[in-house]
Amino acid sequence: MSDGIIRNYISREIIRDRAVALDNETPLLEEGILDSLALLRLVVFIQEQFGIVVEDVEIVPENFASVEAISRYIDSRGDRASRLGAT
Amino acid sequence: MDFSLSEEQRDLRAAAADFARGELDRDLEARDADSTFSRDAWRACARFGIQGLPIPKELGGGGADILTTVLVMEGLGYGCHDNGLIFSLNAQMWSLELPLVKFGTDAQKQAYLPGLIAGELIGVHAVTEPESGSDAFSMRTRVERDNDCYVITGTKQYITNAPIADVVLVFAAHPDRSKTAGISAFLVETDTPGFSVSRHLEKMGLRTSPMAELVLDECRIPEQNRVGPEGAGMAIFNSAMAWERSCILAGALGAMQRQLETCVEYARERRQFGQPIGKFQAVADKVADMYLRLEAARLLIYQAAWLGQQGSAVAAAAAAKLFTSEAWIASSLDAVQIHGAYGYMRESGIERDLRDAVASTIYSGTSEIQRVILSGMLGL
Ligand SMILES: Cc1cc2nc3c(=O)[nH]c(=O)nc-3n(C[C@H](O)[C@H](O)[C@H](O)COP(=O)(O)OP(=O)(O)OC[C@H]3O[C@@H](n4cnc5c(N)ncnc54)[C@H](O)[C@@H]3O)c2cc1C
Repeated sequence: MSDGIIRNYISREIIRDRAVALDNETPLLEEGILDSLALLRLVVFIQEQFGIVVEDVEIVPENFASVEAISRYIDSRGDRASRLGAT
Repeated sequence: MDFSLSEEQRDLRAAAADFARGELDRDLEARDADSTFSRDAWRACARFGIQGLPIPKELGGGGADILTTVLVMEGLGYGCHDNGLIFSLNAQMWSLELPLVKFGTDAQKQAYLPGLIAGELIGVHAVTEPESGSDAFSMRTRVERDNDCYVITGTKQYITNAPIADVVLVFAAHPDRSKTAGISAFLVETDTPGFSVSRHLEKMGLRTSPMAELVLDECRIPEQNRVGPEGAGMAIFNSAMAWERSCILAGALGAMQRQLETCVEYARERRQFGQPIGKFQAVADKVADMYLRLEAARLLIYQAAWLGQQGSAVAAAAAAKLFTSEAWIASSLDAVQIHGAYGYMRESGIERDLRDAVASTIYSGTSEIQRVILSGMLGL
């Protein structure tokens, strides 16, 4: 579910060009869609939207290379939060 | 909303000011003239606990939160007139020590933090190059893998502490990868073969903080000296910049407080046309503006430090850096003007604050770049 929200945000707020197609595998960093400032904006959006604190050490290519990677990262954070909540 | 500081925080700020007043300004006029760094003052700061202040206790530091660290740096800036020394301390703390705490391995932390905290080692980070300043990620310094080593080649410019550094966090780009995913950071010891200080740089201000250009000529760096995973360079840089922008001008708050008090005293004593110059509205207005800038800058810096502790402070950090740097320059100019010709004389020390302040709208991201960040965070 988070992938749709992330894709939508990047298209609307960062790419801002309907002609540019974005799918879950598009390499966001390699293709320069997310530059340094766009990445910081996206992190603020994710924190507010999903109620998680994104640590500096987590803002690495492994977690932000594509919409799919971001979505996987958010899901893992959610899992961690609910596991912590359960104990 | 509670704006009060704890008694402990207030005491620490006052203690830093007292310490600074006693020890740090020795021979400042001469050291400013001939660009001399004071290793004695550096070691004294380490004994007082400055370099280790924001480092967790389990790593040998003072374990202070960031707001408390800011307050101590403010006290230091109030007591100490050597803005260059404070700048060098800041450069090491925010651009090397905190990234090490956040991204470093246990072995890296143990190898470097104790020495940096004790004042025995000196370090900084090296990002800027002759062809890439604000556009930092366009760097040309290259890194290539060779078995269990990395080989780094390139030139870094305007590097604070470079002539006296023992370890430098060097950022380099992997060829054929993008700007954002292809930068990595490495701890490079300055006695590594191929590493050299190619040119000492003379500055307008902050002259007691040494600066140089560095050359890395096929420096072989062991894999265990890479900080964070490959490609984490941008994350490390952004993390360091957020702290640096929030906190690097805390010392300037102290300097502006000192400036303000000096100006009030002078405006009450200096008489022209039969009365103290402070009675002239044009002079009094300058003092009021200095107060206004100082209080607004203080709130922005405290807020950015506090927000950074809670998680994220990108916009708050940019706002704090932007406002405080411009306020410091404006107030330094006012201080010279209020003192007339005396303020323009080297012996007054008033002009030194102005020369020291000018760089603050350039380092850690220029004012123009802070405005780009702010407007970007606002959706433009
Ligand atoms: C005292 C001091 C200490 C420093 N210490 C270090 C250090 O320890 N390590 C290190 O790596 N670097 C260090 N630097 C370098 C510093 O980070 C750079 O100077 C800074 O990033 C600006 O780069 P530049 O000087 O190449 O200016 P440029 O990037 O060439 O900028 C020139 C002008 O163009 C403007 N400009 C550029 N891009 C834009 C844009 N997109 N929009 C609007 N305006 C723009 C700038 O604001 C500036 O006014 C230090 C600099 C100083 C002054």
